[in-house]
Amino acid sequence: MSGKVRRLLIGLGVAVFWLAVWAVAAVAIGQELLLPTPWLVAATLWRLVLEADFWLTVGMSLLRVVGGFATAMVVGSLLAVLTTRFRVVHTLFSPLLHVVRAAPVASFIIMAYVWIKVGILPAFIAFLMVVPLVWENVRQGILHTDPKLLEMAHVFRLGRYRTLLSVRFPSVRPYLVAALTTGFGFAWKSGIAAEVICQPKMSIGQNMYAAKAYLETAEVIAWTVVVVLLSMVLERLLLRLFKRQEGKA
Amino acid sequence: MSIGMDSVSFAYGDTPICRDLTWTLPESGVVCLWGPSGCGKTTLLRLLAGLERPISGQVNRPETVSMVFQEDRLLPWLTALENVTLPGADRQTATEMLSAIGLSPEEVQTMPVNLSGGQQRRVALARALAAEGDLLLLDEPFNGLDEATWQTAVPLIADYATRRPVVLVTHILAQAEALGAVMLPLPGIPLTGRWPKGENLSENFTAKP
Repeated sequence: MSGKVRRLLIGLGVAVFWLAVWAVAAVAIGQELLLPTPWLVAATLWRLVLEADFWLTVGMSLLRVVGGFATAMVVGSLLAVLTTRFRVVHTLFSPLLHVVRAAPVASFIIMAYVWIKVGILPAFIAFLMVVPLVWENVRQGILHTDPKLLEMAHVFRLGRYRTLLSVRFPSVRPYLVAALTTGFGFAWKSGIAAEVICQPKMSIGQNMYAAKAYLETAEVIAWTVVVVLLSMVLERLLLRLFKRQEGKA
Repeated sequence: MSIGMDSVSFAYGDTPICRDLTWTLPESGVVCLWGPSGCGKTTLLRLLAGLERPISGQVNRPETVSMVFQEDRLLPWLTALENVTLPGADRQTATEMLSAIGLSPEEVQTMPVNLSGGQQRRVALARALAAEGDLLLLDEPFNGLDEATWQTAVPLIADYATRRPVVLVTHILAQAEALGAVMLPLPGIPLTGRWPKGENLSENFTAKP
């Protein structure tokens, strides 16, 4: 049996085990409101998927989270370069990093609610949560670039562009990939939390909030499943993209 | 412009390495810096490579410099061949150089991490030779190579030295002799003086307290 098939079977086994635990607990409790059965959640999910607005809702939430995340990747990397290159920028901006990291996400959501349009607020929150992570990771990557390799590039006169492409960027890449995988989860969690609190139209968060208000626990869990699945699929896609780029490099 | 140093002084913090040192390299041939550890051999190479700036005086460097460092300094994310082509050598020249230095066609396409220490050293040598700099600096270039292996690199370096100056740092006299190097003993730091002084090679740098 190949390693891949073995890993797949183990993964399936683990999933079946936890589904069974869930099913036994749900049957034992016997109250849909407290803990619906896995099959009720699956049926609810199927009903949602068949609704006309489902894909539009998912698409809009996705757009907000991915938009915030992508902006954070760009801005975070830029801040990392600037704070590494210029000490004054680092002195000026590093307190912000600590504030954003330490403050609870709900505080930012409530504050931003006052200043920013509801439609783009989740994107802003996702951006705000991911920026420090990218910033710090990329900064570490830049600081940990092997000075001996940079000396080699200098002696052989590789020039700025080739040094950037051949030495600096590959040195930062592992740190960037780490930021990417952790950051994407962050973006989803904070973006959906922002949607639940400020309820923009056509959003997963709004639907979750409505389901909670109507005591539709199965629907809340079904939407959570959608978020988890999307997060996993997109994270894998991003990693695959990076690996392909690595192959080309 | 002749390659070398003109009244160069340099120090690491409070430790002076050279003071008012003047040194002109020949147009071709191998010069071997010879002396005890800490006598400034690597520092002289680093000054020539442009990795250190003199406190005073002038380092006259050519347009392009090739160098084998004490460590291999290969890029781990590139194959052996890509490491050799990085400074500008075309694929054919790089492949020929790697083959001449003893790497098989499969090893040429291998990432450094999958090569032995000796093979990585040979890739570093091939990179410096294929880059065809106007000055070749070799800092313990045969580190980790057995005699049979470094002997294969000797004709390649000797051929290079027929056209351009090569500066060698080594602790093994046999390697300098195999390359037909002019020995330049370094007595200790701080180095001072002038080289060459006429034809008499014994009148070279002195160490002054």
